[in-house]
Amino acid sequence: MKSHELYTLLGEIDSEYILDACPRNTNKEKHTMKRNISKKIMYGALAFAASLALLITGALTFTPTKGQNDIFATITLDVNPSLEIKVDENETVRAVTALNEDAKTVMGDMRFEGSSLELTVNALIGSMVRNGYLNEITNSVLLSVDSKDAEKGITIKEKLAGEIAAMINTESFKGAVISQTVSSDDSELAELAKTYGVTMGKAKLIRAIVNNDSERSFAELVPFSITELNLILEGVQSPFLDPENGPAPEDLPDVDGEASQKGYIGKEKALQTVLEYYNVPKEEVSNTPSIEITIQSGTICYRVQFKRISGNYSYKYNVCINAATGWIAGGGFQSSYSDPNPMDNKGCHDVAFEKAGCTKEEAENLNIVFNMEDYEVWVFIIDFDFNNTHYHTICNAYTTEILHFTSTPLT
Amino acid sequence: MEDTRIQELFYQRNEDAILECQRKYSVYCRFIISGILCDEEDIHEVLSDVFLKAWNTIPPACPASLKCYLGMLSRQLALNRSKEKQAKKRSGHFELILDELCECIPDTEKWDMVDEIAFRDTLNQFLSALPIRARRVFIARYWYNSSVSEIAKEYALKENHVTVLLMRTRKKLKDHLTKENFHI
Repeated sequence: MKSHELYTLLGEIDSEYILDACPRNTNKEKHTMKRNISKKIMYGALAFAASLALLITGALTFTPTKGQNDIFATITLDVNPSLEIKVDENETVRAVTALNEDAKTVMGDMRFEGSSLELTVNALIGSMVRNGYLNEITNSVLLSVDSKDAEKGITIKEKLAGEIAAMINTESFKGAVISQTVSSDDSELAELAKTYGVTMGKAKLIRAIVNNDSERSFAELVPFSITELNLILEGVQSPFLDPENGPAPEDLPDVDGEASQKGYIGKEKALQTVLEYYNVPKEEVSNTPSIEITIQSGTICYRVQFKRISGNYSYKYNVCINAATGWIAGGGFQSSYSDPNPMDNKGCHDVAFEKAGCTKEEAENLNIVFNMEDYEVWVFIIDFDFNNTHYHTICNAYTTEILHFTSTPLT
Repeated sequence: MEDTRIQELFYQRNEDAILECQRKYSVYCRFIISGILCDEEDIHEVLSDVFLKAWNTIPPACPASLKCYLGMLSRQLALNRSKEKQAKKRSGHFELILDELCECIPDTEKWDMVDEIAFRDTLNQFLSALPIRARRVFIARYWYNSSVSEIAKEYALKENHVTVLLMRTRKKLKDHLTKENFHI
């Protein structure tokens, strides 16, 4: 079998070499009788093979579109190259349009009119791999289907998503497919796409992220590639992997596969960078660090968050690391003194209750804060209500001296 | 009829495209198919399938060379038929060709599309660096499945010379692929 496969591969050599070595005795024409091929054409159409499409990719030409009236569905493929495929009700391709310069490279000389949707998508994805637009770093494809029949649109979306996923799930890299349906009747989406110069599909993906992540804005996300958006999307979707958080919002697209992080330093390295930068021994990290993809100053970053306890001091770290360079992009840490049992420090409490003329049990809405942010010493800030009066006491944690006391009648 | 005109017939979905292809390229395609298959019925069926496949694939295909495209289809479909029929109905010298290739080819078992693209590029790079005659002989043998005697006649060489030339080229190919990190 090995030899068969290689023999097949040997078939894919440049056509000029094949023609150059063509045996002379084959350059004869033959007069043949018309055979009943029509029926075979009608009933015996063979499925197109993706490999064949790849084989012929280099030798094809593209022609302008025609017949827009019976367009049944529009399929958009976004990677960085963005292409639009228009098909009729039989899923026969009526037109393929390159939506940017890279897409023209992907299309090359291919001519798609009249061919099946599946073959066309296979050929285009194959060409994206061949031309290096899909690789181990840029591994995500956004598939958007806009169909006159919503139900059929979902069927097309699911079928093509499976096809693409199978194609780009290679030994060299694992691809990811984000799939969604869009509607040209969505005027808000159309406006966003027009304003920002992106496809309806990319606009919908960005809108879904923005709707589910209040820290993000549409304009901020526009410059990002589909793989980068996929990474950001993973952060948005991750809470919904836990069933306790309920189902994922309906506007989030389906994702098959994971966005590549091979262009980035990785989560472990990001954590290590923070630990080294702030000279934090690993054993002092008191919780499981949270490392999430985020955006800082228009670049993809890892947000590294963890707690550290060192002696009587505790620290909260919240640091952003540039995902590509590994440089510190922002953030820092806050420290606080950790009294092992601040609530047991009865001295200050007793003084506060005594001042108000009540006991701890009689106090309502009790709130105690232990900090030193606005004072030179550690203090307890004790608030509570008693006898229709609100009491506010600030007490030196070490000496129990009252630094500030107010009583305000409750209205 | 010119190839460009035949291709236009394909785009217009005019079945005359098939008749013209048959008229012009039956001999060529048959030569390639019969290098892989020996059963006359199989050859006949695969030949029909080649033109049917051309009808089904043009468009989207718009080959720069229709002849080469039909040749590729012939080769691939004959190979598919050969696999279906296993060794029973294969041409004897095709078996020999496969054996020869085994010496210099990588293990393709776990290959995917990216590996195949890399291999194709490497192979074309190798062919471009070969002397013209060595390249022609190599392609005649491993693309057109010509017998050693046919190649000798085509290029006015002694059969022994063709055999040696092929052996050297296979060794070069093996070395080239090894150098390019393909595991033989």
